[in-house]
Amino acid sequence: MRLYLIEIYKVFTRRRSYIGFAAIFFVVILLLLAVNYEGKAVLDFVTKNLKDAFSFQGNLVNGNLFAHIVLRSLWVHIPLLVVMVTGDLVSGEYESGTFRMVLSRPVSRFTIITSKFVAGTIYVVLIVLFLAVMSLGLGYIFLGNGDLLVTKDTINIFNADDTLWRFALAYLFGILSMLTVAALSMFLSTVFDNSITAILSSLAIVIVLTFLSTFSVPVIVYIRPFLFTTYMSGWQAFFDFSINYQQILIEVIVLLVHIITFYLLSLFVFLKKDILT
Amino acid sequence: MSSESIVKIRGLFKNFDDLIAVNNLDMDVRKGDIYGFLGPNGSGKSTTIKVLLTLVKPERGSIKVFDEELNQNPKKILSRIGAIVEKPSFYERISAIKNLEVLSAYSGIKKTKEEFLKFLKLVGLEDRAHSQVKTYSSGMKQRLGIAQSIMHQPDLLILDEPFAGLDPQGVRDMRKLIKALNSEKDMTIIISSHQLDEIESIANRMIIINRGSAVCEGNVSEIVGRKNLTVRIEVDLPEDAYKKLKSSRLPIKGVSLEGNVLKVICAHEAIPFINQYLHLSGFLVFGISKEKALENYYLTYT
Repeated sequence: MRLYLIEIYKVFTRRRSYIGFAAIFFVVILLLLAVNYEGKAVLDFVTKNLKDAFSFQGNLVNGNLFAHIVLRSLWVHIPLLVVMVTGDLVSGEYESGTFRMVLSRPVSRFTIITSKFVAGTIYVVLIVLFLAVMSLGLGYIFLGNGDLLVTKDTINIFNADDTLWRFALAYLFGILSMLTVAALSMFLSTVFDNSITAILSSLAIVIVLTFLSTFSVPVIVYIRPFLFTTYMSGWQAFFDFSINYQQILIEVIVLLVHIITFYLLSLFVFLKKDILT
Repeated sequence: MSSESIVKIRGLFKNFDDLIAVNNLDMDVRKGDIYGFLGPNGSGKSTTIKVLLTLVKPERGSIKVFDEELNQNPKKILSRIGAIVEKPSFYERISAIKNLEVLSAYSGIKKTKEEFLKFLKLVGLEDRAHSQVKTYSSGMKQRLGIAQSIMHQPDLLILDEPFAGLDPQGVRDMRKLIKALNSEKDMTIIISSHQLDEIESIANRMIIINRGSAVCEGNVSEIVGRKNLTVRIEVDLPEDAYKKLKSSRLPIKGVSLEGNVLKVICAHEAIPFINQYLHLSGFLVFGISKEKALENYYLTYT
């Protein structure tokens, strides 16, 4: 237990761990100011081409809409903030040479990697929770509660009291998809002795796989269900009227399989690795 | 010194792709030794140390530490070893005392702040215990490295270049500390160093390795102390003295003339006879001095 706490402590002694929180804080504040002062424009942006066919009544610019806008706009950027920290967890110690001291102590490499995965998981949970608290908390405080308007393939309007559990599940799913990105970067972090290489290669893989996930070529369509990036926006399923839990379960399983695979690969690499730096 | 073996390496081999780092190395460190580990850069010293600390996996060979195979029970063995490998690296953004606390967790030991301070005091860092390590000089990091390596009171201490980055006072303090840890705390100590004078002055046994293999191993005094000294002799007529010595029946192994200085290779015991011989032959002897024995030996074999 002590080693797990030490790893978490080490994560938060690094300056880069706070960059993600700071970035979320400033972007959410900026978005809040924009929604607060330009509410009508924001609603126009959300409803886009629907205004000719529909007439919207009531206070639709509220905390729920704000939290949903934040999620939609920021979600693609969160992996960047996550891998900055998780991609450095192992390679950072190769690079600084601290592993020479740590691994010459009577501690198993299995424990080291597992505690680093736990620390990385806690970081991911905290950063997603921070995003949730900032967007929902500030949204409710400054814009109040109200019905949630969601435009996807259909227009969905949820009662105010029907939204919070959807957000909770969406953030939980979001944690899982971010954990997959974190696990990938932690695996690459065990492979490379250099943090920058680990971080950039993680991002490159996420970008390439995201591209493949959206690219409609027959060959790729077959592999698409097996790519974790296909489910990065899976949280949006919780804002459908009838939620397809069976599909969500499949997505959860695919993401979990990826996380476990990356963890086992990290273990395999780390147990065999010579510490030369 | 005891003949009980603390480290026994047989046929150690390690390569990195085409590069052979350690090539069938045999090595014996006995209980109570201060064991000098010498060799030029890239000779395989650090790799051997890293193998001993399980940082690097050997291709083949047997490594027994405390009479147990290292790969059979590494955790138990490592709990009895303290080490500095290459230059000590710490978590730069936290204090020295916090670093000790973090590193002690990996050793599975719990100590109070006062106990950590005691170790920092031992290496002269008590005044900077709460400073971030990033503000430390390389000499201070070296001393902090010593503190972290001894805080779990190991039986075997492995110090890779412990004198690197230290000022003369630091070198003297380090030498004193190493001797004290060896004699008072009963620690067996392996020191890898390029500072041959230091090894000559504190080690009782040593090994020289080159290209991954042992060149020689044994007692320092036997290897370099008395058998093959190079003696510099300054006389009034060096060329005549050179001829005289060359044709003499004195127990010398070689003589050469370098400038106005005679260089004689001989045993320690032969020095007074050479002096007497030159004096009786009518030469004025202005000076006799021994060249650095270990340095000569080292340069000969590496």
